[in-house]
Amino acid sequence: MKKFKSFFRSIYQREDFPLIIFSVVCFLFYLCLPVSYDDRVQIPKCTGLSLKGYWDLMVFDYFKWSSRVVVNGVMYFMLGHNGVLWKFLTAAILFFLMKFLSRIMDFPDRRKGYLIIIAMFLLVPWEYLGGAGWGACTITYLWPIALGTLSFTTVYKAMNGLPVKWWEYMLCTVILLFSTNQEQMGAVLLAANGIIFLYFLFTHRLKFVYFWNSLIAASGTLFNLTVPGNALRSEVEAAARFPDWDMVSMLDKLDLGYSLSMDKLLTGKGCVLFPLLALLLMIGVWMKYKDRLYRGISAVPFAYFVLFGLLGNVTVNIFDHFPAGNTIDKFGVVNTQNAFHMSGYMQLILYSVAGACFLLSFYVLIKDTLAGIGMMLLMLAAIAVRIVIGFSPTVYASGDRTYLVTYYVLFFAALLIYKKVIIHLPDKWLFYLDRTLYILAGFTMLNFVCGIML
Amino acid sequence: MDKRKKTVILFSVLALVAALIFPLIRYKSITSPIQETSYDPALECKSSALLWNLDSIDNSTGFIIPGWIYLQGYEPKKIRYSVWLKEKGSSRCLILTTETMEREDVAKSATDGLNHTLSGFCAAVSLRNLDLDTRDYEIIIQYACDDRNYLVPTGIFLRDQLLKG
Repeated sequence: MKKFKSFFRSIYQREDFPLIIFSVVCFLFYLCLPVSYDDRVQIPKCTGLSLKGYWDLMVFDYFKWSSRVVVNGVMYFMLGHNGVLWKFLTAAILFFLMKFLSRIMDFPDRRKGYLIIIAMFLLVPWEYLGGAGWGACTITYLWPIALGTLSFTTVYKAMNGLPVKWWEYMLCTVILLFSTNQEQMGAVLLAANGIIFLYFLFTHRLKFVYFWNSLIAASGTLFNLTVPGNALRSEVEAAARFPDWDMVSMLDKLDLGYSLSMDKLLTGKGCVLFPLLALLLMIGVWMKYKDRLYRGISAVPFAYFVLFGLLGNVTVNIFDHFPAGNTIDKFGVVNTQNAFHMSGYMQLILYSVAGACFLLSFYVLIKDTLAGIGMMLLMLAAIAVRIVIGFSPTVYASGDRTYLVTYYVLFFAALLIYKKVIIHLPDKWLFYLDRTLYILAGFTMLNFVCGIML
Repeated sequence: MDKRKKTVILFSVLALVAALIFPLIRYKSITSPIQETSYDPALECKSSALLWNLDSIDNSTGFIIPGWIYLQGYEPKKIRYSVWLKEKGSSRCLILTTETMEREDVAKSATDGLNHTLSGFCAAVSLRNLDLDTRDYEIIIQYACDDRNYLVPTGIFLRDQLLKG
């Protein structure tokens, strides 16, 4: 008993104690979740297969279904084996992800830092990972996102002048290859690695690892774009889910992807992460600058959220022609029915203005000009990977999980901005900011739990 | 003015220009005819199985032409409707931007037991793209679903609609 107590005390005293608890709860939580949607089909299909069987499924995907050959291959293997394995690995991957993020952020109080990272992570709605089955979505979305982030370990070490071991190169290359195979993550990884590569190229501090990672991300994205299965699947999906797909032009698809993505992000529908990030950016800029232009620019995204998201119904009730009540149909926010009304066009303009102000706020807040532009480009890439979903006939069928990559990039950005903001904040304000964050995370989790299907 | 502020102003102006250009392109793409074509009387549908209707046409600063069309006893896999404007006394036609609409009311009233929810359509064209002072246009509905291609002359002319107000 004494040994037991001292063991628990030693764990409790560890600075990563919140993270251990989070990982254990995450594992237990996954154990309790029901088998649903695609998992019901995939698990029997993948169980009892030999390695040749998994290979055949991957070959089928390559020619007939999807560019996610590697990601789906891992998913088939994991779902075909004991269900506990992928659940344990998910908890382990999240543990290492948070550890890595904590190392990058380098919060003065490590224990509190873990709490902040966990709270912000929980702001991304967990239910998005269950939209096509918990196993299928977690392995094909959460794993590439988490492992893609972990693949920056070598870059981080190189940036800080730390030695990189050969096995770290190997491991990071493998997980980068895996993550790039998820097409949205591939584009974001290409943007992130490309920005780092160009930054160090222009500042004459280029190292091999920056070039190597960019090369892998570029090759992976090229592979995703050229796989024959994607085009075939698009045809099948269009016939099944979008019979009038041929009537929608490229501009309509752009409008559709742009309007759906910007509306959801800016109004905070279903996820409070973007409004929180907009608030943090506003606080950061207002604390740092007295310039009215900077302050005005940083206030626009949060003001948009308040006017058209939080108080959207009130705004539309009072100002009934305001561009907030437009329905986004298959043509986007501007369609044949409202083609001669300003409202739809105004809404497009407002999306762009709020989005541009959001990006510019990063540039204003981050002191280093090149890093600021890099951050703007990364955010742009994160939003763009959701916008291009408008070009897919599964734009409605894939549901909210296609926002996950965007949201997780916003999560990383929110952490970075939080770190910049707390330097300028008085302790009392920081206390309230942290509590607000915990409460929001609590509400997001409560919302998720209430929505779970039994 | 410092360099950072100049860059912010430059980016802001560029963003504003970009924010204005997209809606303008959008307006042009929706309210202008997609292309010109010539009318082929051989494609005119004589079958009574092709049911259609044009709803009330809005003609404020342009025409918004809503309606529905479906082939009784046939549920298409690939849907493609378009509204054409045929110049009176000529075979020249303008193909308009047309969008499908969900029409639960039409689906409910259908008696063949098939799903005709996506039988609705809506087309738009700006008055600027038409020459209604010297010409008149008849509304034609094209039903080009799967391998079937029919043209339905509605007998409704735009100038009459304009006079109705």
